Amino acid sequence: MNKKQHAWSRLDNAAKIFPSTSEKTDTRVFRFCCELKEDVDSEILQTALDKALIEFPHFRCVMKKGLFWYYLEQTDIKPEVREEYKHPCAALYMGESDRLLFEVTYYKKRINLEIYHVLADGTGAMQFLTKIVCSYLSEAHKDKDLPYFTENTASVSEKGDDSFRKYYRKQKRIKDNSIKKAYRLKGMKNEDDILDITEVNMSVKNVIEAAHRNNTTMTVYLTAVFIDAIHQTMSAADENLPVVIMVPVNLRNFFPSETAKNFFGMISVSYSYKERSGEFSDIIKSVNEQFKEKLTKEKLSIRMNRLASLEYNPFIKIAPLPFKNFVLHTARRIGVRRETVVISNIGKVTLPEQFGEYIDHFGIFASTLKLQLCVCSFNDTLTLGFTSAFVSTQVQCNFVRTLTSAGITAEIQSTNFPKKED
Amino acid sequence: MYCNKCEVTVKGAKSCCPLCRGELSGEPDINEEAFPRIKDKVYDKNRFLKIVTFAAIVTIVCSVAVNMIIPMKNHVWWSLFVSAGVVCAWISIVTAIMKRRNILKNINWQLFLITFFAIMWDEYTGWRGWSLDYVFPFACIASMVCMYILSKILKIPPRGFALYMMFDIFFGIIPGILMFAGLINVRYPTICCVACSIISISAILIFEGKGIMEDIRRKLHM
Repeated sequence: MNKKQHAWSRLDNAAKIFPSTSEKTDTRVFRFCCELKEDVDSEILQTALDKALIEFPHFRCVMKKGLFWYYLEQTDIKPEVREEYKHPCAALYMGESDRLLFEVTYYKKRINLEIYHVLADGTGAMQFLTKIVCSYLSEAHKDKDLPYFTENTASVSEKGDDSFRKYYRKQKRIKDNSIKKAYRLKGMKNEDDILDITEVNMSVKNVIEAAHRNNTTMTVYLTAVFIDAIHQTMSAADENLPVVIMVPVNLRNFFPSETAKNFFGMISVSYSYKERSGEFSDIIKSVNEQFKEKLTKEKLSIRMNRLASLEYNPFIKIAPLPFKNFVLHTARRIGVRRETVVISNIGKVTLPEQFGEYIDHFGIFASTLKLQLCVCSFNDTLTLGFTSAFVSTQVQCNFVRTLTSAGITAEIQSTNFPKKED
Repeated sequence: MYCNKCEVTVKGAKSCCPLCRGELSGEPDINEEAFPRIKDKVYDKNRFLKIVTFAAIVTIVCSVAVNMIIPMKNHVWWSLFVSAGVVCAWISIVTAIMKRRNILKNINWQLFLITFFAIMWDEYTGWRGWSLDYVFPFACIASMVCMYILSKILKIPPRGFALYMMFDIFFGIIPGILMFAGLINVRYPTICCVACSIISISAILIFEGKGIMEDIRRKLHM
């Protein structure tokens, strides 16, 4: 009768919101992928995954329902590598079934890690993927004696920390008087809640040069291009509402933490065409100012505490899970009215030089109800990952054309198999 | 391949530019296609639910229609019984479908629903007490036995089903309370039910007490 009892853990503060708000195309699953310069061997990948999992044991768990909150329970289920078989960012949590919350697949030269946001944020997921990739390459090229690599040198328990708890301080509620309503992208959605992904690869150098020509940084430049690309699809009446771009911020850069779980915040950057000129230089100016203003430890800490206080609110605490789900889902429905799109910059992926010759690029895609852009770079390749629930690709098209007309060469690959229009 | 309008290289074998739907120049290369073509699923996860709901509506409408066309002596509205029965069955089936991933929880739900429906039927068909005398205690015994057998067949470890069993047990004590309140006429089913409950709870507490406490802690964490 004596069966081993599995350890369990609470969901971290940010993760608590995800299960209640996963819906339709917004499955809260993201895909991190790495395109190699060689075809992927499934057996070696399986070995690499098993090895990587030893260092990230808290990813090996299933999600269960409690009376008040969901929780994660360790499991003995072994993840199985298989060839890519479903649409990108498809749901991983399917009610109370015994399924892992991440999945590793491959297709030709690409390794995909699809992971439920409850387990980790972009930083944590990227650490896991780079670990898998490096284990894979070390195994596949044994003769080359590649170095042992792990980006996160933290102990297993540090990786499993909830940093929101660590930095939470009770504070007076400060009223959030930001935008009430943002312009929302419209259009026909894909059938069956499928997300289309479009990957744009460019040279980092070229994009930085283009940004410098506009006297700004790459992130600000790309954000401004995105705003402009959306504006081109707006009607005159739409201009009454501002375009609001949500930008996830890695809080590890502001509050020391080694966690591989969630630890991110959000800032919003808005641009109102009603109030401002709409000139590209003016967009850049506005975005730049807002980044400067909002990306401070104090500002981020206020927002972080506001979100965290939700978890400590006694009324929310004692509400049974179905009620919480309802409330959080409704709150999210209202919340998304204040955002147009999300742009997420994971930044530079750094690996020991020796690995560089086997890897082409990394890419990131996140689930969304509308349109989302994820950015990352590896060596000189900048990868833009668009995920879209819409049939139309007009915004992406405008975005890419703005870049190419600035003299940047781009290469795209897409899950979109358009039928030729006659 | 290359799109002259967007000025981008398009990898793979697209029939037109994925961005602007414009014409592409160059030779398509299927080997360069970065993503597999996923077969669109035809499987509709709510299909069974839809069929059940439709069948329920058809049954109700037909029975009421037949009832109206062929009048009975004394104007008996038998179709109301059919309709109420169909609604009960529909609720039970829908619950079963929604909780299909957790069969033990499903048993708890069915136990609760069946008891509730039985009491309602008994109440509205002139109280004869059969729901409390027979249905309630036998349903409790049946669900306890089912749970035990299922946990053996599905190899669910004791702590996996102990919490659901506890629900059954507490539910199984209720007929005993009703008996002392004088609401039970036929006593032997209730006595059997309470006896089963007490035996089950002592088995669980003796063999799985620690696990249960741990399970309760995680299920109830705030």
